[in-house]
Amino acid sequence: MRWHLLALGAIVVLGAAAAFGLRDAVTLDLFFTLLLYAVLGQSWNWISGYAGNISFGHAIFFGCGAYASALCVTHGLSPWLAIPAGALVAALLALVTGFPTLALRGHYFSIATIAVAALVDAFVRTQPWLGRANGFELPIQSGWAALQFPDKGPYVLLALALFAIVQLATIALERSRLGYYLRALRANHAAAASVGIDERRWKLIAFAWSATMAAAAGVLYAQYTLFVDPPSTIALAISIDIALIGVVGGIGTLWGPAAGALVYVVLAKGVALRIGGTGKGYDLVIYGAIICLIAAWKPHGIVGTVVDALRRRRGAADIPPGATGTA
Amino acid sequence: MHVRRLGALIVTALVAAAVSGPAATRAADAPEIVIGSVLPLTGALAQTGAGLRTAQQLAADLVNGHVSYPLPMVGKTGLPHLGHARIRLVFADSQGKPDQARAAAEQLITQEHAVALIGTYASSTTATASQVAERAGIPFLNPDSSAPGLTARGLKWFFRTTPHDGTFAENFYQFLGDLKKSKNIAVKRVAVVGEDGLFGTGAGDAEEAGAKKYGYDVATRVSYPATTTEVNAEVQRVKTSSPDVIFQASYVPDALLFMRGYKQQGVNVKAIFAQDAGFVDPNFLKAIGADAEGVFTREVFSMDIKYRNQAVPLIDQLFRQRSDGAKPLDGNTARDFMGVLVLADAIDRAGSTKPDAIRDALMKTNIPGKLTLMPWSRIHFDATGQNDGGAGIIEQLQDGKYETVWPFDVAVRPVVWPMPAWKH
Repeated sequence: MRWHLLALGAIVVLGAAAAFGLRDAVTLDLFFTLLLYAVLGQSWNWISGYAGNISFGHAIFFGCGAYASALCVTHGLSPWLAIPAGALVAALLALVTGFPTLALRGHYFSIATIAVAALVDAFVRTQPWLGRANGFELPIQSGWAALQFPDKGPYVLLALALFAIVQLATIALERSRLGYYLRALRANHAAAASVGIDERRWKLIAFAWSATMAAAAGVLYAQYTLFVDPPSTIALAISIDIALIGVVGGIGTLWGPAAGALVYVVLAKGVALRIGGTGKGYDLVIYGAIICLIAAWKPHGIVGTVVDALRRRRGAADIPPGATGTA
Repeated sequence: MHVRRLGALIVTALVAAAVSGPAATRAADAPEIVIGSVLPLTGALAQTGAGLRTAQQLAADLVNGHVSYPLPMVGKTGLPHLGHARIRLVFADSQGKPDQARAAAEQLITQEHAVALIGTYASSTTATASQVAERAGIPFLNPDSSAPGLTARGLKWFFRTTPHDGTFAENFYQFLGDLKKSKNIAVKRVAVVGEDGLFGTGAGDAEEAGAKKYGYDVATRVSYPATTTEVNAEVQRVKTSSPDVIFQASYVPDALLFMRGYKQQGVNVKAIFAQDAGFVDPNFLKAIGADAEGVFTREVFSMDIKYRNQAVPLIDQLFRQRSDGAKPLDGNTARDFMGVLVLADAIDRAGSTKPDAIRDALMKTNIPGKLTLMPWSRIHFDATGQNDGGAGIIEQLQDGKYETVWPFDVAVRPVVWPMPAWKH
């Protein structure tokens, strides 16, 4: 626990130093994207890692935040309002969809999330007030009131703050009743139920919090990219990106999503910028190869592998139960 | 050998191959002016992106070369007012995604020090890449995105040469107006049919707005997912609304479904106006045969423009030599080719690589239509940065081939009106 807090503190200090010190827009852009995806990965990790219900529709919660932001700004409201509004809608959506589906066994929950995401996507595309397929272009403004900045520094600070909050919440989750219940349910739902753990109730709570985090990331994304449309926020491809980050990094681990986001951003985004101009798609080949390598040899992901190695060296005593990835 | 070691080796080789790729293209001696180009080079739009890249590079090479064509800035061995400096295009991949387009634009401006940006084909990626240019104060030339909203954002550094969906829709109504005068036709009710993606929605919105402006009634608006496998209900809705003409934005499979549906249910209208795409695809024409005879489509480009500018077939030939599979010049590639020339012209007139000077020069751009590959009257930007000389052309499928029928001054065939009724 102390090490986790120290590591988080170090990241926040270094990140803040980078946000104030760096002028290179490309590096700051990668840094922002890294933090944003780390948050999305952690959000996914709550329901899919700790609770063990693999979601392939997580982008719809991200979309709730992004669309809340777009709607607020285009209707002359403060984008700050979009954070509670988007989070509320996302949490309600999670409760409504989670109630009948979270108790589904095996892959059925995953299939249900894909179906719900497809429904939301189709719904948005038919609604004029949601911009249909055209989406929204947010007008360019500046300042904290408008939650928009000409420089990247404040965006990185905001993303850093969100990341820190989410990591702290996850540290708390790992030591809370909710966290123990979720892992118990994941390990053996029948045994957990037999000692009186209400599966639906606790998983709904986790799902709602998970959706809330993704929505907050969505608001930040919209304010940064200033463009919101279905393919860039709620499409299946985004959901799969989020799930991949969680899997690559190490499912059900505190630092897994951050590690997965690092791999994703450095490879899928950073390498693409360096060599993507050739149009030969090497960057995608490399990213794909890494995913295959991890899937074949290290299904516990990066952090899961590191934790396993540490445990072998020091004996299992120091590592809290549930810190390794199993699903 | 261990499997693990082999895997590591493969990854190392891939990284090495990837990193060593683009270094060879750098020219050494002449001073260079860097123009950054954001295009969808991978992902679903990669094929289109590859063609656009070829077209832009061809234009840059012709600007840097010494062979003259009736086109602006071509054959002057670089930019004369800048000591014959050569222009160099640096490409960055948008992957067709708004956030990646944004990052690519950022990279071209801050790391490649591009003096201007061009791109990006998809309207959603143009929206984000142009915002980066706006923040940085770098001119952005968009030759190929058709969402009307892009020039309604009040951006100072954004210039668009292509006409947008609104113009294309207005062209249909202008065409109907011209036909009313010359042939005394009667059209009152229009049905607007389109897939529910960005393409169909944008076209449909513009057609509805045009109907209001030009005094037509919208009989019905039908939108459907492009991946649909049957459209009986949609066709029925069109039929019961009894339109005079149908405006249709579809890809190949759905265009085929609708045409078969119209025939089966006997939907007889005076004309079907298509938004190119599926309706001009060779696979559509092969599958549908004579049943599509008389369909109109809007186009941004046609080889028939050679009657106005003899450079058209010559550029087409050069383009075919460079493109994979010897593809002919088309509306997208011709527009991107012209985009590079418009930027080169502005930078040369600016006589400077300062962004302000280039922007001022862009605002004074005035290239006559006959010096372009396009059916436009001129290239000249209005206060929003939109080219006010842009126009589309309208073609009609006659004897199995799309022939230009409007505007009348570039038409090669007379209009057949109305479309033949279905024969059962």
